[in-house]
Amino acid sequence: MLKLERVGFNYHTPEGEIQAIQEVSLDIKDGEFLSIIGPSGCGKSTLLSLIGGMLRPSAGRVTIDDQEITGPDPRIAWMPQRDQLFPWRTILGNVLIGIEVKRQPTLEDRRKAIALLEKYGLGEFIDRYPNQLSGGMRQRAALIRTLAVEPQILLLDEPFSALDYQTRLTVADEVRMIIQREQKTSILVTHDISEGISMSDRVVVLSKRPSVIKSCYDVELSAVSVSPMARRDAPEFGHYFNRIWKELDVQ
Amino acid sequence: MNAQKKISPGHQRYLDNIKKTEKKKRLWQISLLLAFLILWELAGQMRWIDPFIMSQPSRVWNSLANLVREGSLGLHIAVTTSETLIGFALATIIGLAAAIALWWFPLAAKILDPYLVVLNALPKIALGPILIVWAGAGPKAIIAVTVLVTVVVTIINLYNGFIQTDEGKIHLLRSFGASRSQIFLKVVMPANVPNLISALKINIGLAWVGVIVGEFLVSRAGLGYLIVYGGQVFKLDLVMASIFILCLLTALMYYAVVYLEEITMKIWHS
Repeated sequence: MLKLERVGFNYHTPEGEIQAIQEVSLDIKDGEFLSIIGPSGCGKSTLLSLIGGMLRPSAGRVTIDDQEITGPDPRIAWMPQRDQLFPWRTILGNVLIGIEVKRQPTLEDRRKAIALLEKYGLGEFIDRYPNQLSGGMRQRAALIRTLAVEPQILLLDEPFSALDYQTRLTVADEVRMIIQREQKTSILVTHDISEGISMSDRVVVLSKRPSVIKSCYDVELSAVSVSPMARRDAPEFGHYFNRIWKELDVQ
Repeated sequence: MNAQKKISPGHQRYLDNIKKTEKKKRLWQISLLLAFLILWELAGQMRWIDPFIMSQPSRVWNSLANLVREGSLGLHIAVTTSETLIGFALATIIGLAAAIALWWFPLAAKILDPYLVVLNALPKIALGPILIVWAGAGPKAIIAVTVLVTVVVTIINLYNGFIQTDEGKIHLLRSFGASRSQIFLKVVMPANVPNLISALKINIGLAWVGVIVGEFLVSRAGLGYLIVYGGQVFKLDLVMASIFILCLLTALMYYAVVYLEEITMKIWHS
């Protein structure tokens, strides 16, 4: 279980100190899909960096199974906003990068990576370079790169924001299904309300800076599948959307 | 795969047009050179100019033939070329090492910044006489001048490339727990290969400047030596012949680097 205990974060510029996150406490259950929604500049991404151990909180602490996170942790993997695939590496080379940082990839590692790529429809692109793939396929490759290090928790930092709308819907669907199959705890940061509701078990709305949790919604949709596309059609969807929309207080 | 398709008349016209422009360009390039040489030769023959001072193609040709007959042309070319290549290689290696060090120690980079700026602005040739005293009047001094002329620009260009490496890619590696050396080897260096090639392109030009200036200052052989010597004894034909050879050599080396660039770009897919 991932826990945020009264986490606060200030960052410093020569002009002064800015309180980005005032106080956030959250419990995230294993296997849960949680979305964090908030106005732009509210410190959503900062919160992810704190969970991922890329930043240390100014106050409070982040723990996994009661162990405090003090730096990048092998149990957590991060999927960035743009795919950040390295153009000079093949898709397989890109997928293996996370393992390479830890150790020399073994044949077993390669076999597993190839199996993942094949499982999720990139089998024939193993030796291709990122610029030979479509935006959606690249994002899928980026997700597989994240899965290849076999983390418990995935941090998704607006992973679809660089895609055009149609690709975005399809890729979000794919990603959600893959995560469902791989049984990972996931935290998605987004400013897209529909995306948040359609993908998650729970939606957390952050306030403007200095951020606190404004509200929390357990999303219960009468949809037959976990597919975000199907969930968007659920009758309750609009209800959640309107409530969160009002909560966000967009001017 | 699209190239296998039948070509439409419109596309054919487009392709023909490209070919035609290419042909026209080549024709003009060659004609310009020929016209210049013929006019120069003619001007000398007709005494519109004084060939003793202005030289002329036929005299340059004779001068070249002389050098070949004496058997010294090869020596001069070898001396200058080897000095250039050694200076170029040294400057690139030292520059790369220094740029890596600056990237590795950001505080050092901040501290050294004004010194680099001044060194970059300084005409390095001004240090020539000092180098001659230090390195002795010989090829060592010439190579030292070459390195000095080339290395500062290399450091600055490479370092700027390093610090402009995509933050997102570095962040990604850090999230996997990468060390600083892993970040350098797996992101910064590979991302900067195109940058390194463009540094090589600039370096090759600067290395020639360094070598020729170095040879002007101290030398007993080399194309720079021939130019200075020819100038001193008023053998302008010899000067022109040396410059002609120099043109060929520099073009050759430049295109060698461009070729290298094409190959790496293919591998690099960027």
